[in-house]
Amino acid sequence: MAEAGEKSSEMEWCFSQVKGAIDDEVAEADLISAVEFNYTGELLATGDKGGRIVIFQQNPENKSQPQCHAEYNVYSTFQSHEPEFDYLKSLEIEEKINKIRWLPKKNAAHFLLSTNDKTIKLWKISERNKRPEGYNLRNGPYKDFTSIASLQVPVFKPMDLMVEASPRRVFANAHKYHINSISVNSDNETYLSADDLRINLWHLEITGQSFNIVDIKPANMEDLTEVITAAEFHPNQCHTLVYGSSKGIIRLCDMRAAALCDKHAKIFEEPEDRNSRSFFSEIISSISDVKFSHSGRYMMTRDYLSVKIWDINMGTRPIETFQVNEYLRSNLCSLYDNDCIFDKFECCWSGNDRVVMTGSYNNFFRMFDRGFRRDVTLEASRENCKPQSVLKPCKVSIGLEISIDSVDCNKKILHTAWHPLDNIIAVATTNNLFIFQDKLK
Amino acid sequence: MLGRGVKRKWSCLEEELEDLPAAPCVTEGKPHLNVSDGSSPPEGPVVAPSKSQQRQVVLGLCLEKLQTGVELSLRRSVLLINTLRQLQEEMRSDGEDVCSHRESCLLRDSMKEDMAVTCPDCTEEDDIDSLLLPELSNQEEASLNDPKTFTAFSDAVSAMGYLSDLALDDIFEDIDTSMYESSDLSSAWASGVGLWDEDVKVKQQGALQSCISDLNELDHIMEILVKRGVQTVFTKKWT
Repeated sequence: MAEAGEKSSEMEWCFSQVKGAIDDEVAEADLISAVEFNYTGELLATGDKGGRIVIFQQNPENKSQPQCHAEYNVYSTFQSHEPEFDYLKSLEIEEKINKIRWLPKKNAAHFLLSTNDKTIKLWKISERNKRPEGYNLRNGPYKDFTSIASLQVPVFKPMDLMVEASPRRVFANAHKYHINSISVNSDNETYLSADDLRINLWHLEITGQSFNIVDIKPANMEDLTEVITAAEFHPNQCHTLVYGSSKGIIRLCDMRAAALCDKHAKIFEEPEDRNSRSFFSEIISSISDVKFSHSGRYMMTRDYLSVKIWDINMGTRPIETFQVNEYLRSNLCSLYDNDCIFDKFECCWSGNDRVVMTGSYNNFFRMFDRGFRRDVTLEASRENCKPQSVLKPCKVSIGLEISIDSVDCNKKILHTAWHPLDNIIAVATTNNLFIFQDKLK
Repeated sequence: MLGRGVKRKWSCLEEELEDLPAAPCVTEGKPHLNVSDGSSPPEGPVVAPSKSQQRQVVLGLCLEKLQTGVELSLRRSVLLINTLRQLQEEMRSDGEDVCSHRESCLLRDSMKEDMAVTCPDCTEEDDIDSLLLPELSNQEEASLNDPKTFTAFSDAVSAMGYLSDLALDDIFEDIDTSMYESSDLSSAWASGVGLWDEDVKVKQQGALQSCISDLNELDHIMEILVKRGVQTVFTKKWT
């Protein structure tokens, strides 16, 4: 495990690659909506609004060369979800990929789960580099069966590498509301899918049924005041899951306690700061992402303005709070007006759990080093695209009022991912994927 | 309704922002936060809007969003409704009587639309036909500020969104609808709500009163249309 954080006092990030169209005209279907490394970091999957998944593979030849170890090339592209039309409700079901989650590798093939608003699919990605040749009739010397004099046995001959993606399972019709999260359990047999009001537990082999384990739908929909916004299984404990809500509350559930986990085992809620209360307090407290640390000891939550680290043994308050873009607080009304206050930013842990990362507007992304109590703001832009060029941290003055005109809400980084074993990060702007690597290797 | 992420002109926002509009941030070295092309902040002292004015702005925005984007996501709708409830609570506790019939209607509309859009099994569970007629007679006596009674009248209101409207255009014809594009009912509603923006700039009370009287006419027309059999459309659409 490469632990750059321990060796050096500060990480410097270099540009490695950028994927996606160069022109400014962004096709709506190309908007990146999901980014995820697999368990070894060898594969990087992205999902877009058009329902496509593109998988990049780390170039194996250059893994040993430190300068180029973050080179990813296209491995497979396939259409995961298609748009559907719900005739009963006269609503279109978007094909946009909401989440991608890899399964741990069990054999030569790779498996991932991808989901749109309503349907989860299990995809098998397998390589084929040999094909049988020498069939008697198909590609043999004989033109028709009457002229066969003797038979030959087909043999496998090498061929150009072909990567095939095939849907192995389709988990459909289990969600009335829009799916926002999927999470694979550490037992490698089950996974959860969460929509606005319910969380279902599936077995990877069984598509015909799923168990409802959390249901927060009130008897009377008029009493609805809270929805589920994110959910995740614990990385080690197969009976533990957490889900965050639109009210800024995180609930931890233990599946051993009851079949229906409506009653939480633990609740994580920070008492509200009365001084900074505004009309938008609830909206900005809404949890947009929740992620366990790799160790399973900590949990990170993202709300509109901050990232909070929680010790899962203590629910009264987070152990660390990082302000991502506090300068937006004075512009909440404008952000409410243009709907950007509802943006859902994701967050991620570094492989060693020492650094956390999240995106913001103006194509900024922020990293918070928990160990050295340092933070840095970097920008993903095509202007910093020279190979190996070191990213200069951006200085965003805090304490000064910032005009809303300075905040480019169209350039937002909602999705980021960190290689599980190395200091390589993938940052998605609207339609480009930037890959950066740590310089000191 | 402006598209997502589109910035409104400074002149629209300057009186509506909660805090004083400030000069653009000056960063050292890296000018990443530049002032984009657009109007620059006004010179000279700017009076911060009062709490009541701020409330009006946010209330107006809330209603506008509930009308136009209710199918976007349940999370968004719930957050908007919670904000609206909070505003109404604050207004009630401050003694302001601006919780009009219209607002409660819209609150009910949006919840009902949510129900219909995202939860067809709810409408299956309720017996709609039996709900519609008895509650219509209570409509005018219904408490103004009671969001708990979601009546079938509001069901019809939401169903109205799918019918081309005749009489409503007359009521709203003198309202500036240049900001809104479509010609169906939802834009008519939205342009009604657009009054809120005007209110903040001019005087609040007078414009509100004319708005409320217009809406009472609207209620009357709605009732007539409902009695003509709009419920048939509603039940066909949402079951």
